[in-house]
Amino acid sequence: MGCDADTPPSYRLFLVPPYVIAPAYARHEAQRLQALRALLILDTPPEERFDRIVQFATNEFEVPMAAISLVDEDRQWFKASHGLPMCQTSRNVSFCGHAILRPDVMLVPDTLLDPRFFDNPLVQQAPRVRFYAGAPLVLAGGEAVGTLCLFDTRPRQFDRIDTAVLAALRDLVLEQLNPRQVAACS
Amino acid sequence: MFVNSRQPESAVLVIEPDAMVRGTLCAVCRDLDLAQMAQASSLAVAEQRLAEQAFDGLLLSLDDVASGLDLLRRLRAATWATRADAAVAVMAHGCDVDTAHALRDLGVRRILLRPFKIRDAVHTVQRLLEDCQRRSLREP
Repeated sequence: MGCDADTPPSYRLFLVPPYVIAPAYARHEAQRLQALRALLILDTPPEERFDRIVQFATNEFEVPMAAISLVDEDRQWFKASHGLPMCQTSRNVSFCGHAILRPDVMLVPDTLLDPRFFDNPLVQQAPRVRFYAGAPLVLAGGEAVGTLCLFDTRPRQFDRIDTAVLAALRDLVLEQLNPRQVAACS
Repeated sequence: MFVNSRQPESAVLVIEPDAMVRGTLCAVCRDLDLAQMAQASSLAVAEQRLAEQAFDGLLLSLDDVASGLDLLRRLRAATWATRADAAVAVMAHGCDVDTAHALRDLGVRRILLRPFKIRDAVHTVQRLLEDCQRRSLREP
């Protein structure tokens, strides 16, 4: 799929071999990256306060994998994770790169039925993701820096209560991120 | 299927020491527009809240059984602003026969055994509100 030079970056789709639809960049990508880096959290060691939220989400939703994913320029890096065999992936194949482009929870009930993800390497190979739910981590300035996300190896549905619980847990992550933001700004 | 059983004026107090459980439950109930939600991290804080505001329902952690039952006895004795017949559910790791009898005598009919999911606690709040609704329908 092509796009001309006048197409705004936020509406472009990029193809990654073999045919993955890579996430577009945010409308204010430079500002978003600046806000993410101001958190001073990328590549820091695991912290119990974040691990606990991910563990809570794993138990609450009975999913094999969950993470706090931060979407950097060309990668997503997991500040906390459960069940995932890697600590980061290319942004091009990330689900969370798509999730940060919308204000609400992004649901993919069955990845094999979604044209964005059916041939994604994370779907076609281990960990063989079939379900994804991601709540964007939107800072006070409006920058979506990552997600609290769930993965399952089987398709599933998400109802109103599930969405509200994930959003509430996402808010707990934001509460933990914001003190860092305040400290970084001061 | 989710059914909203909200009474617009309903207020529920959640007394739970675990901040993540307490905060998440209250946030979800607010998001679902079930009721006005208030929270207390301890029985001491709960007493203050009960004195300040009239609640229609309580979701009480019974980790300290003796102190929890004492609070319920005082609630039923109309000690605070909250009405004496407020609907109550408890959260507990277990419940022996004596405690079950004591809870029954204090008008507690719902016990949420730990570990539970937030979804289960939300359903318990919904049942509490339904109890409130039934009670208000019986009143003249």
